[in-house]
Amino acid sequence: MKRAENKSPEAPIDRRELMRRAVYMVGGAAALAGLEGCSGAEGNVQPQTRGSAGRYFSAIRMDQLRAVIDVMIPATDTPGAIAAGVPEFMDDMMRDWASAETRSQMKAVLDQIDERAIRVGGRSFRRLAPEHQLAVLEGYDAHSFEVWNADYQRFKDLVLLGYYHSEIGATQELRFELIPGRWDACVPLGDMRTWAD
Amino acid sequence: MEPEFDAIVVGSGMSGGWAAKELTERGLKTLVIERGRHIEHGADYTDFDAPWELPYLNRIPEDEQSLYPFASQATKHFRMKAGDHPYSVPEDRPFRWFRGYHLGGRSLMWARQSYRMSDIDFEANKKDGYGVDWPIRYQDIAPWYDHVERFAGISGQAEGLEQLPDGVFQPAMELNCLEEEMKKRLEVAYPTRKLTIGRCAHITEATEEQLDLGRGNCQYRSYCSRGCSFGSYFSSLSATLPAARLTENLTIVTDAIGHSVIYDPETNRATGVRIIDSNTKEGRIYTGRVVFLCASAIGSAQIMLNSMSDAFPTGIANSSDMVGRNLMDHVSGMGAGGSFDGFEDMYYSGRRPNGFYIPRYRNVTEDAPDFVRGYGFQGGCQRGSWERGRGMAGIGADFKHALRTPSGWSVWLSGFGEMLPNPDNRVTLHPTKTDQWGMAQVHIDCTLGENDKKLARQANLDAVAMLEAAGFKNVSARGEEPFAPGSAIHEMGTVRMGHDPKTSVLNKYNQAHDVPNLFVTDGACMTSTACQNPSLTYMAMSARAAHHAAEFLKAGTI
Repeated sequence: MKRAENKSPEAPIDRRELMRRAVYMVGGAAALAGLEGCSGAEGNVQPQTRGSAGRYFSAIRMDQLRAVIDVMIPATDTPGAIAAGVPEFMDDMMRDWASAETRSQMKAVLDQIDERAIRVGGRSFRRLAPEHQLAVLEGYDAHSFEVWNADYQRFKDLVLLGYYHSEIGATQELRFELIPGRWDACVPLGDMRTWAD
Repeated sequence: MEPEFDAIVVGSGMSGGWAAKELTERGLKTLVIERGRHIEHGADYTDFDAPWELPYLNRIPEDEQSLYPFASQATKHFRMKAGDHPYSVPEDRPFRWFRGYHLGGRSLMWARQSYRMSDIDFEANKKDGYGVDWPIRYQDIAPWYDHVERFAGISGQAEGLEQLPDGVFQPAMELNCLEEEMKKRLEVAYPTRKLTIGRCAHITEATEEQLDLGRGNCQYRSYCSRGCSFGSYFSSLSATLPAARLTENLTIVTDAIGHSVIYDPETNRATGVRIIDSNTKEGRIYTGRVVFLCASAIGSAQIMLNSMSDAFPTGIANSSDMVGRNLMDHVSGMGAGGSFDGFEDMYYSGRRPNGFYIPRYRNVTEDAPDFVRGYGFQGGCQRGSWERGRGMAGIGADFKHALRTPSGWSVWLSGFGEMLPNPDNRVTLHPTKTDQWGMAQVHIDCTLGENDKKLARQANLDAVAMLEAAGFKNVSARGEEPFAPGSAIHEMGTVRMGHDPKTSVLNKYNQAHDVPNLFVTDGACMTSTACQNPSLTYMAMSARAAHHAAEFLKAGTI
């Protein structure tokens, strides 16, 4: 995903133009074999470091958001939500995309998580040890589904979208092909991963 | 004074594109008027954007969402903003009117399902007495179905069904394993029903003619709603307008809102079209020897009603008082879904822009309990993606790992039913409300009738019964009540064809009974809806009418 301030305007346009030209010159879609590798490396943000404010969230809130998101979708054998820039995505979305209602829902979620952290662990979420963060968030997540916490549903929805439709989430964690070029109606699942889109 | 053009076509969508192609190819200097803005095939599409390249990961900013219903960031540019083009409805009778105000119209927004009507459909009104008789039969339109299918590129499977005639098909897309299994089980449980792959306007084996127009085979991206730079699915922009351009007989004017048809009582002919420039709001007149209205069912009726003269005080060619009446849509909102245990070791690869189809069987191979006509179902089977995680408890490495594998299979079935013509379902000009260009707004008063509702109820029951018979679990119907009319985006009937000038507006050539050089070939001309997706019929009807109009011009009879 792109952030407003550091997107490269040239790269995606060039690639699109390249594909389009291939279609027109050869007069058909067969021209696109071999362009599959062109899905582009541009676009991903460098995750920011602790202690810096976002475009929407304060530095403290950004730290909390990073901690929460890191626990929700950690790095495993593939990169997690931090590497995919999900905290920055959430920050951008709150600034440029969200309605006032959604913004207050996100604030409510971060408040609820901190309240739980303080109740259970005696300090705010971002200051808890990683294993305590996991326990607090697991409890909060499970409880939120028991009572159908709409604020948290919304939060989780955006975090999952931010990860699985990031380039890392779609291509390293899951599978994605911009131009599949063919339809194979029945293939053995084997160790294939979920299609991202 | 000599007219500026041989033909004027109002509208550049599914029907207007075809009229333009056929008229220009017959040597007629043709003007296409489009009320929306210009769209450049390819350059104005968003089909090469990966998910992470789309602003806000493809979600429209929340405060704008109500302005662009059912759109995403990638398709927003094909939607008009709600409120810019108002219409009114009675408080208790909603009608949903989805439009495509840009070059290419809704041919850039359609779901591309392409089915022929049969004699069962063309004879229905006469047999059961609802509406007036169609002035044509299947044999009149069959060669034109051939003609448009060959050019457009329709992929599908021949089945030899009386109610759904086969066409000129390119190779069919394949059913996935669960759909194959469902087909077997369904056809055992219901020997008179059939499940077939959807017939869709996607090229699967491009012809020379298609390649020459820069069109190629479907790439299985399913980003069709963003426009297709490969020209793989049929649209005016990929196919008919480029073909018309090659003749050098085509002129296109965009940002020109069709206001009215100009009528000369001396000659009893339409002499041109008045438009309003959507940017400057100034009026302008184009003159032509023949006028084709292809502005969509409601749009064409609006222009006709707005074309008032001493000879036609209630609108041009409206001596029957049928212009604007008999508005129909397909009955929609019926269907069912369910899950399936099995095939856990199977998946698919690629994104097929098509599903399966269960053709009509009610009042064809099986009686219906308490209604006339029938319905067909579209559907598909798929496995759950990461999106299921939204409704699932869990976080951390285990949760992430679980979403790596697709979840179980599910199915959806969606019914489209025939809606009967009713003269009280009607489009009129609002007596006081106008739009920003000073044109009278349309007032749409349309509601489902008893037969329509009975048919919808049975479609829900059938959908559930079929899924259960095919072994699906957790089966539930989509909803108790069908959607408000308009929701299927298949508006039809407002300028209907018929034998009798007293009860219909158009004759068997889509030619106005009252004004012989005025033709209407979009959904407005439909005398009944059948239950099949109608666009293919609009295409065939437009090509056929253009052929006859050119013949009449040559013979000097219009």
